[in-house]
Amino acid sequence: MSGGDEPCAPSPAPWRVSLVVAANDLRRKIRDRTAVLMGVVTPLVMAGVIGLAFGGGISFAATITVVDVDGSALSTGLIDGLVDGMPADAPVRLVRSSDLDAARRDLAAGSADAVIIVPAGFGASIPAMSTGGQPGSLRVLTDANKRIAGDVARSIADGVSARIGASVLSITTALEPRGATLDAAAIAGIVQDGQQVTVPIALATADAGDRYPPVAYFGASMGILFLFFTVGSGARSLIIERKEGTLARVRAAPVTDGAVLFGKSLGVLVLGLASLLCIWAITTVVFRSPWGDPWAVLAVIMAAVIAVTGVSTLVTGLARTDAQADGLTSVVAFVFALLGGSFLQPGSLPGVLDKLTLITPNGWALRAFTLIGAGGAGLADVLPHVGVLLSIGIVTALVGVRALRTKALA
Amino acid sequence: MTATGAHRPPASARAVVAIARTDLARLVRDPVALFFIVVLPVVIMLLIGATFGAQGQRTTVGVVDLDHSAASAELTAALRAGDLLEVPEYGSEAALRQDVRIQNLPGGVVIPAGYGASLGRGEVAVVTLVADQKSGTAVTLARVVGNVIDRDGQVLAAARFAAGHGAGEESTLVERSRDVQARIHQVGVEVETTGRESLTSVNRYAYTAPSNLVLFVFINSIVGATALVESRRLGVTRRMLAAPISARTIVFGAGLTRLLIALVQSVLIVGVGALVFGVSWGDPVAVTVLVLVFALLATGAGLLIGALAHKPEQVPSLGIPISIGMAMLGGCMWPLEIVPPALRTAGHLTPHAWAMDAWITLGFEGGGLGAIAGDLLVLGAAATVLLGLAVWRLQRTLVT
Repeated sequence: MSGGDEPCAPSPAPWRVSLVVAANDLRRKIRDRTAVLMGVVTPLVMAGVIGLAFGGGISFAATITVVDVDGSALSTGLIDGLVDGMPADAPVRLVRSSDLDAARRDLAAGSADAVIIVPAGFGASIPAMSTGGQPGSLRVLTDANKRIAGDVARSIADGVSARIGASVLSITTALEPRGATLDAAAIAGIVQDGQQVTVPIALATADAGDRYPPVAYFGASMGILFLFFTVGSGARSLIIERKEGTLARVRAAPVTDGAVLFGKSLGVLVLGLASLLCIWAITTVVFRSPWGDPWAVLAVIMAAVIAVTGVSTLVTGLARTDAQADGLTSVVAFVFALLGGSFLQPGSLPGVLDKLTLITPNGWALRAFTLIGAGGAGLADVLPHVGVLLSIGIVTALVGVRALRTKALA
Repeated sequence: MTATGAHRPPASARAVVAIARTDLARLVRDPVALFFIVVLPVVIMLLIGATFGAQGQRTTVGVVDLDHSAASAELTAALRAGDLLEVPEYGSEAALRQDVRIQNLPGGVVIPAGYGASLGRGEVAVVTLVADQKSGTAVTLARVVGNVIDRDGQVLAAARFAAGHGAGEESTLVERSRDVQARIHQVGVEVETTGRESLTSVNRYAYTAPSNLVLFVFINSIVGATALVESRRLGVTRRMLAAPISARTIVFGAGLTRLLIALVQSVLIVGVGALVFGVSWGDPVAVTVLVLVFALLATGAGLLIGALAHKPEQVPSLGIPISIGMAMLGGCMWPLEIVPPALRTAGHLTPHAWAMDAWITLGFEGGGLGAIAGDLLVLGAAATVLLGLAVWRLQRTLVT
């Protein structure tokens, strides 16, 4: 610290120095279009692309052909029940047919999305079920490219199987211990009634409510990925300025090293913050993809920027040259993004890998964003995540600044 | 060509080789570049393969029992009985919905209060499957859960029916019905899949391996342009021109380096894919041609960037994100068959999409050289244009 000798020109307060350094760095960054491109435009474009790929979800409609090769009373009755039971507004349309070859051609041509076949001899094989006989099987033809239609056709066939099973089971259970004691008319009555038995538990489906909009999720994930580059270039500028002698000249002025370093960090933080805030604003307004409770989002954004700034400072501190810093930053950015699940929708990683996301700041931030955006979490719910991110940031920044200081200012 | 002897290669050819050798020697000493060329593609293949593989394992379905009756406990037990489902219990429907929304859980079953009572009255009891109805997994889950419910429901229906027809007490008939159910064979459902196999069902690395090849060969060629821009800026290329070699020779030398790196990386990924992950790439001749054409294309793109960029640091900072964006559009991150048609069309503005089409034809449909001729033609034309532009442009920028 200088400043004891008042008659000389007064040296500026350290905070003023920091502000000047930060403002200068920011001005230069904004003039260089790369910062805007990397910090805002690219993450948004990527989020848009991924969001478009996943965002629409499935718009599902299918035509399923039901082929009755059997032609027995049982198969006709079953298929009538299926076709008539399908609501008119259902996304699935069932079409009757008796021509298997035509159905196969329709499937190949794409005019049918799946085929259910009741094979020859099916009806005749059912009565033997009650004595442990092997009934015929229903067959489902699916196209590998139409997995959902295939699943629906299988569900329908499974439902038919369940209904037949319920009838046979009912009749067998009613008759078994005393079948011999009943007269033929009573048995016929039970068999007749048994065919009307249906499964008494029905499955309804309900949507879970709005999930996290993919554009918002990937906006955040890509924003954090590119934060490494934005912030990394800021830390790297310290190495370049030392190489070019700019730092030496700055230090000739009555300023402290701490003030310069703090100013540079401040510039980087503001830039990183601006980049994520822009992404937040644009995805919310333009893409109509809200992120959830604003205070919670803001807290996580700030904590994420601090964490990434810390990690970048450390990475830059470990590098010997600016080219090396560049390379290391890309490696760390991509490895963290991969491990942190930045390229995948939440919940798509299996157990161990899902836990592994938590060794990265990306993983913590994305988890918090998902909780806020889809789970309706507020600031209090994400405080642990914010705490972890801040700790990562502060610890790595302290180590990184030490390394940088000895390197850049020595 | 300036032939100087019958046996020795022409001077310019030797110069091209010498330039390439120097470049390669410098590359081998750069650990970061080697990480990107060798380690990262393999690690990513592993990671993504693990993600796809997870889908084949047990599915998790949460359950909320709001009824707390014997019947609801029975249904929960039935859900747990098979090997297919893992069934964690949730305390409230809100907690279950929250986990489905944040995609911690693919779906969950809500057994409503009054479930047991409705069954007791002989009514149809409705349980609800909560899932993201916009995703394909909802349909699969409905089928799997529906099967469990049907089997459980059959027993209840049979016991009630038998009791109604004078076979005894309903409560004792449930046990007998369960015994009968275990004995009888249900009607089977045989599934026959036509067309090619789904892209992830054959081998979980079968799609990841070619997509990483396309992604990384392209990215590395682009990033490799940094060295060329640096040489231009530092004046290395200008000083090389002082030697008796032409600008064309220098361009070919740089191009040869990039091509070799692209080829080495392709061979590495094909090799690791085939030997470690068991990926079958398809007809070897067609695979070789495709690798070569795509490597030429990537080299052309890299050289062109090397000719156009002003500052070396611009190359990775713009090249990496742009290459990743192209890879996403082109189907290297997920199959283009799952995206909306418009996006699929837009994706074919990138060479990646054409290359992926060709890899799918070779690896999944058993096609040969003839089947990918159209894709090769597009890639080859793009490679020719890029290489031509790059050579023309570089010859001028190296001299001035």
